[in-house]
Amino acid sequence: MYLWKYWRESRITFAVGIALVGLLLWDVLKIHVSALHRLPGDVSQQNLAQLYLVITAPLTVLLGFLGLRFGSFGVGCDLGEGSGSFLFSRPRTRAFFVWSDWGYGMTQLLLIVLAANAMLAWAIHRIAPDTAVILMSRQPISMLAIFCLHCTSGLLLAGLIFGLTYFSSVLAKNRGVLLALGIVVAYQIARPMVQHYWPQIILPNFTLTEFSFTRSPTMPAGFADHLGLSIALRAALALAFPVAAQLLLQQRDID
Amino acid sequence: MNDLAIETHALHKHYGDIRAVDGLDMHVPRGAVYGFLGRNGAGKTTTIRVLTGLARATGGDMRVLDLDPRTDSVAILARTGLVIEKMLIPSMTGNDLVRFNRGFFPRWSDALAAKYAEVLELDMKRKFKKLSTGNRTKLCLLLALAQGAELILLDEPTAGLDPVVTDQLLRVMVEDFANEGRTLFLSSHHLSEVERIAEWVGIIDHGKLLLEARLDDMRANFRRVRVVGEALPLAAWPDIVSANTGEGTTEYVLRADADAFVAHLESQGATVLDVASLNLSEIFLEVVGKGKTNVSVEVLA
Repeated sequence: MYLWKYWRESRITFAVGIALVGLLLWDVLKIHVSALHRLPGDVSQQNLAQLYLVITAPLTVLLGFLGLRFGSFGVGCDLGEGSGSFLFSRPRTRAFFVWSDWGYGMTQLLLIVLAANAMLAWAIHRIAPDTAVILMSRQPISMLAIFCLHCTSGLLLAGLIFGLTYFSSVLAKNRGVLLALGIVVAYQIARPMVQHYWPQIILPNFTLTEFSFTRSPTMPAGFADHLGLSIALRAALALAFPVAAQLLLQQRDID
Repeated sequence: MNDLAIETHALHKHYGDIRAVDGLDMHVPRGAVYGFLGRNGAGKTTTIRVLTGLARATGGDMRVLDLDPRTDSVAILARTGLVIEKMLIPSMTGNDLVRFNRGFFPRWSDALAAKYAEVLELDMKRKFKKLSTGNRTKLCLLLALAQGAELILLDEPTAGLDPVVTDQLLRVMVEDFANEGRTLFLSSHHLSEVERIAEWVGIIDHGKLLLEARLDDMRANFRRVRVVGEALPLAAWPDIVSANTGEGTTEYVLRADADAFVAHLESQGATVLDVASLNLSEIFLEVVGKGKTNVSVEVLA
């Protein structure tokens, strides 16, 4: 029954998210696919890599936005609206509420990420229908691997921002979304500055770097180094936020 | 099974330097209607929050339905109806809230919910955020009453309700709830309402329980005695709650043994003008220290 409440709160965002992903891909693909089809002869790997990069950037922004939005639902929203006493006087542990919110939010984000990548894979398949091994890299990478990697990357980004916003909402109630947005923006500003003044320190990007890029901006050379470690650390960080939210709620008096 | 629904010993809840609950000793019998009285800021709401696990006690012991709220709050909440903040989920209608609540409580009764909606004249299709203050309170009460709880904790349940609905609500609470042997714990400063339905009364002030007794015992024992005389005892008699002197008379309020006190005064040569009983409102005012000389009152047996 509690999941029904989360669904009521988030269903519009979920529908809008799916619609925006569809719209974005349709718009981008319409332009690029038709451009690619006008090219004489076979579509080159570089063309497809370019298409991938063009789509990845707006998708990243969209997933970040959706993560922010989904993080604002659930317990933090109830605390902000003053209904925390009602919610937490239902006979469930505080952990139950946190992990129900988190699980359901992540499920919806996963569906959006899967939808986005399925559409992308379908578009690539339309351009190069015989290609089971793809492109985008100097080393052959299977389409399934690319699909899984993109899904992982998208989910980690959305999950990280979702968790951060969720924790911020529990911490700062109505100001939680602004706090999370502030942290994301501040980090994005701080990252190049740190790199500029202390070149030996490289702060990781919010988005997973799946490929080690060559000098050509549109031609990845292969999987990035320590990709598994990078995924594991991001996953751990994304999980740390709901854990922190649970611990915070368990220590806090509900007013 | 303990015959107390709620029991606290030296319960404390501090917020920094503020002692919201300061050594509370309370005993709420099972099946009783217990009026928990206190001024604004006396510690009533904080006590309820601590008892239900919404706030953590700073110290002391407590049992609610034989369970410890610090470790068993989920089990307590499953058997307890609670109305504390009259704020539910704003975007849900009454029907949505019934649907939402139903899943949490195995003994939830849709029939009771429908009945209370009718009795309290509630529009269940209207969103909570669009309800008036009174209707919000009614909906909170409906949800608490329909969950089939053994214990209901209500914090200022009639705040914002008109007299007609207040009357309906009090009737519902007594007929449908208290008469079934379940415990009703009602915090309020509307003394007339508490006086109408409560069997037991606890008076809290500055986080301490100043008085806890059966209402009938309080009515039977509390007396105001007006006396003319010289060199009268002020606080020497053990049952004096307050003693005020002015314009040739001294007015005593006693919690017990007024007859013995009167006999004592008369033996000292004083003239007793009258001995009067007190209603709950007068007892409350005396106990929370509105008199000039206030003597702390121990729990009545």
